[in-house]
Amino acid sequence: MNEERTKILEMLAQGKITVADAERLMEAMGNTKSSAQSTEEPTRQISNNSKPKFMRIEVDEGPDGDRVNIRVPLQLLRAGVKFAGLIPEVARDKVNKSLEEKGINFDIANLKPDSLEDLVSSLGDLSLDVDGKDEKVRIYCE
Amino acid sequence: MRIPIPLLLFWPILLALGILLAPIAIITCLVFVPYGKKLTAIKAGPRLFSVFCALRGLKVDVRSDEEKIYIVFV
Repeated sequence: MNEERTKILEMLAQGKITVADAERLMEAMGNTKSSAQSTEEPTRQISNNSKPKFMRIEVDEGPDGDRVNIRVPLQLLRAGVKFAGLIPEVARDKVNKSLEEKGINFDIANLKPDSLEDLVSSLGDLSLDVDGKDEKVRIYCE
Repeated sequence: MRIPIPLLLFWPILLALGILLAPIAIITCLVFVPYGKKLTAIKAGPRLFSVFCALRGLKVDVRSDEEKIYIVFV
């Protein structure tokens, strides 16, 4: 129970206000709370709706080493996956074999545009930081 | 090396290519009809085009002691 509500009940107990007054005050409190909640909700929705647009890959090999900064639009990822859907089965098998040889056990046939949206939206939370002795790798979405 | 690539400049080239390749695309579609791949052939063009459009914003910035490469699609 919050402070305002306790105060109202105390005033009612002391006989300073009537039951009707207490009811009115409680109602007024409820309205102000709900209006405060309704003003908070849109801002929260906006922050949830702000989807990431780019994936950033940053590699820093120290002051003497190379620096790589790549920004990939996620729209390119979407378009790429849709385009990959047109790859013939024979070529798809070859791609899968090549991926397997590189240690990536993944079937590109499973990557469908429908499931891609979930993947892209979940990428927003992705943040990968690798701090080595001399190099730093950072992958994130913005 | 600093290369900003405005995609806007590619539109006239793409348009010309599209007009030139349209007959080839139609013939390809007709060839693929018996194999049931007509739709794939038709879809390939627009999907390739969407990949091209999605290039906007792509930035590659590589800096080493010897060379600097900066490519950005605007």
